[in-house]
Amino acid sequence: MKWLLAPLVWLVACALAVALLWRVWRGRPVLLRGRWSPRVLRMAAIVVVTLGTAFDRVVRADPPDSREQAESDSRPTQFNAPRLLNEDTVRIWWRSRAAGDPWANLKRAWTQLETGMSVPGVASFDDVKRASNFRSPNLSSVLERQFARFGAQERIPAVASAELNAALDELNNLHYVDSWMAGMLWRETAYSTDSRDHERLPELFGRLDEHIRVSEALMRAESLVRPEPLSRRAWMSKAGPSREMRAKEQATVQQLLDAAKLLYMRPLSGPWHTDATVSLTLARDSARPSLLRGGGRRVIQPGDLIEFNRLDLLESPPGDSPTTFVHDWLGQVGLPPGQLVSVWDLAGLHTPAAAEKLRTVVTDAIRGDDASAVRLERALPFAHSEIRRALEAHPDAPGAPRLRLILTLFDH
Amino acid sequence: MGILHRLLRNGKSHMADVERALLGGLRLVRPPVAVQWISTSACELTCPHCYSQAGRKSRGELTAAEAKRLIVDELVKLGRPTLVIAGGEALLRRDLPEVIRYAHARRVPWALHSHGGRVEALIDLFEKCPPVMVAISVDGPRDYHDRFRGRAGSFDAALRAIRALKRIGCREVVAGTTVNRQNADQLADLFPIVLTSGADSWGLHLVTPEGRASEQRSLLPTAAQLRRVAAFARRMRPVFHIELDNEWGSAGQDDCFYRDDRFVCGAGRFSCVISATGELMPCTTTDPRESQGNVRDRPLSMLWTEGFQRFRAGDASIESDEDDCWLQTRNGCSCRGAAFGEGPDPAAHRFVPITIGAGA
Repeated sequence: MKWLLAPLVWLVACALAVALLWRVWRGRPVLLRGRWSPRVLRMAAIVVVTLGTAFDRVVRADPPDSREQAESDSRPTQFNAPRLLNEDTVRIWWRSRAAGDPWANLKRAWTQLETGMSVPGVASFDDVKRASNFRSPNLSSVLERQFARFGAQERIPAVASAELNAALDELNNLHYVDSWMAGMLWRETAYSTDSRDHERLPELFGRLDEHIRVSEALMRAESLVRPEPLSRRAWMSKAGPSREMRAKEQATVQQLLDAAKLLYMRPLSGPWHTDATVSLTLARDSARPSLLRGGGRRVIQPGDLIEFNRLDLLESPPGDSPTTFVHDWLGQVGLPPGQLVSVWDLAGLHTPAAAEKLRTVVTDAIRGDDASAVRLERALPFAHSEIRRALEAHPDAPGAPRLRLILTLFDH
Repeated sequence: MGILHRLLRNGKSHMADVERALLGGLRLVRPPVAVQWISTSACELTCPHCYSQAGRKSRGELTAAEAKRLIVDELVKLGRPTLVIAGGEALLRRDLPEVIRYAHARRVPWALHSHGGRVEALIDLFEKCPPVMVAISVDGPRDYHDRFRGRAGSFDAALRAIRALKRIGCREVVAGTTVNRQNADQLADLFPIVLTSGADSWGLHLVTPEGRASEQRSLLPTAAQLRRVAAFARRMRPVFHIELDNEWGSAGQDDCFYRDDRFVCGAGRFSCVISATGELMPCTTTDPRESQGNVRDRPLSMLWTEGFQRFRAGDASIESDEDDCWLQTRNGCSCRGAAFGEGPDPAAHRFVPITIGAGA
């Protein structure tokens, strides 16, 4: 008898739709009371107005403009369908949306520790691991090193890029997609000083870029698909989820995956790609460096303006010809020959005059000068280390809270 | 049912739009989801950003008996939307427990906005009649909060209230911060405090030039601050449940990075406000011209059904623009462009794409 139900409901909905249309010619507003009326009305709305698949429309409704299209087309093909964006990843991501982030405690504790606060019950890294049920060896080793840095006076050595890549492997194998975790691995690269270690940065930055973009694509997919939330009750059964629940989850996962794949192809506009960037123009007489972004590489021509973001790398050609960029405020930025330069290196590459200029502006900003803080915010890749120094020396200065906020926008 | 089910689920947001337009055309009105009651304008604090000019009790405030009959009973008729009790400081009303007990007995879910100062004294009430949500105001770190609110100790009281509510198992406790020009740049300092407060989430409101705040327009955040705060909230959402509240307006396709649900202005569509004296308003505006009538004169359900036509019309008026906060737009300070758009200086932050070819 089940098969009869669908046509019957459609029939009722059609009748209701006719009745509702008739109401157009009636006068006073009427309050919809009762539990069922909005749902029945919604069905009627569908019959009357549309039978189109709303989701497909949503994705197609907003075609990228030609500039976005050009960038999308030129993205390396191997990133068009990243391996990370698979059914297992989506399923685990979706379950964690219902049940809560399994590493929420870890992230909160970390945020407190980063700001110099003590966390109750956390005296050692083992406490962190226990409190957050954290058992991933490579990630643990990265976090342990970072934990040791909190409040340490001596220099704690950097984690090698190879280890960071292994930690990212671990994250991906766990199907844990999270921009905060990716950011944490990226921050660790700040401490890398070994030039041989730099050789593995393109791989790491490319993969971090992919991880972050998958995370953003999933978020957007969820807001488009708007799946029904998973019921936690169903999972409480000793027999596991019912067949119906499993089918429902599978359908949701498939929808999310399809949407995320489409969205991944579109250029993203998240903070990792648009914020805390710096505009650089390659000088006319400069050697031609390469820009490494998202696993791709492009040779920059003299006069080109690039927006250098935190996951980008610049590779200067070997030889005697200097590679020189121009920043509109700080002037010339020279890249050492034959080296890979990340955003962490930029601060040391401008001229002594520019460094002095930067110091003066940071001093003004920490005293509370608005224009100076605005200027720093626009040049964070150059200014962040000077800001950190100033904050360490004057944590309670009038402009310190704002600089701390600005730094957050660089670090995360 | 397969296709219907699929359509309903997949196209939820689109169908909601279609449904709203259709309902408007057919003059059918859905009951509200939440009704806020400004229970009193009395408050012992003197916050400059107060939207309701709170201080002294207004003349002619609804009595407890009136609140029960004209609000709670009517909410039952409206299908039991959430009764959000606000102020002034709602807990200063001595007869408020009577109204809350009555709402609880009639199975009307209730929520509360409070500065937190009297929560501990009334904790038994919260335990016996559990609210669905309590929002406690936290304006900034201790010094700033106490100075801004005009009373030493109010910051500690707010944090104690949050902890007390969590201790008794309150379902959702929100730390609410109204972002203004003075505290906007202190949010990175406030964040770890909110993390340790025990609150379940952090709601970021925006100061609106209504009530006392209308005389303090210098408190309105600058466009650059709006962008900074929005960017901060987006980055910290993977760490903690942060929501940009209604005053921010819609971030369009990026809403998912700032809030749990897509933004829709609820004024007169799925929410409304009853003033301390019983005027039915679309939201927290204090402008008497926006009143749809007084609940003393006509039943709330009737006012809701027949009022707010401009908000449901779907024409080009600002009342019909459900993608922006009507309260902000009516005061000429829409925030969404500055917060989610390109900001005050687009050239400084625009992403200039660069073409990268594989192995080029």
